Amino acid sequence: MKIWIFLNGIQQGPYDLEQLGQLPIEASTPVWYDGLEAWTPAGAAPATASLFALPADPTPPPPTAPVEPSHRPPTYIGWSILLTVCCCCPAGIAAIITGAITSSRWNSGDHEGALQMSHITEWVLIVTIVLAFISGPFGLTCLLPLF
Amino acid sequence: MPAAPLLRRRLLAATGIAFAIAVAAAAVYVAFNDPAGDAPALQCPFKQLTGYDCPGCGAQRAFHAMVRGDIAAAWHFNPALFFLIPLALAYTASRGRLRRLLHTPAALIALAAGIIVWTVARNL
Repeated sequence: MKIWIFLNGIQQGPYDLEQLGQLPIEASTPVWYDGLEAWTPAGAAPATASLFALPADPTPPPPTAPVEPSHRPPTYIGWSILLTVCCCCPAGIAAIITGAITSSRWNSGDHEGALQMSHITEWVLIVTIVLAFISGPFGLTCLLPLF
Repeated sequence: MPAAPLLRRRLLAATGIAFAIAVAAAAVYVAFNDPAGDAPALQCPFKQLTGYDCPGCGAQRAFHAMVRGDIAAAWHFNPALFFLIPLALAYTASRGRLRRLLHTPAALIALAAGIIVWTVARNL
């Protein structure tokens, strides 16, 4: 079937139905094909109405596709420095290094790996802070004989 | 599967907030009590375990001196803090080009190496 359309003030065509699906037409775009008496809105013409019943893109990407992170995952360097000077320097330096690996992986395009390393940094920070809270009061108990 | 990321995020938020509160409380305490004096003070676990100064050792004495306006004494107790604390703030607050520059792998490796060199050097 040959279909003409009136788009952007210009008569265009003929197209077949498949080509029409690729064009930025709307339900209100006038169309004409052999069998119509006059220009008819595409949403009302029997042959083209089906274009608007379905999603514009009949093959959306499968929802199970892995979602690439669009932003650089956090490296938590500020926190790592604070932990290094405040309580536990080896763990703080480890967190800075995992942050460096996060950054390096992101720069080389390995976004998935960068996200994983960012999660590892998060675990290092969590464990370090918990250990700091355990060791802090423990350190204080060493002073009890002073009282 | 969504349980693990949620747990991690909540733990990170909880421990991060608790740590920030603890640091703030310690800062207030140290501001009024000289850690080198008679008042009980927090001990560095690294120093207790190994006997060596960690990169942050002297931070409480330095902060106490700083609050009293004695910058020279603060520098004497721990000069590295004069670089590391502003750097930590810069890493947290910076945006755009400066943030990308600070986060280049080379800058981060230099930061870690610098801290290690400082730790070794102060214990020699």
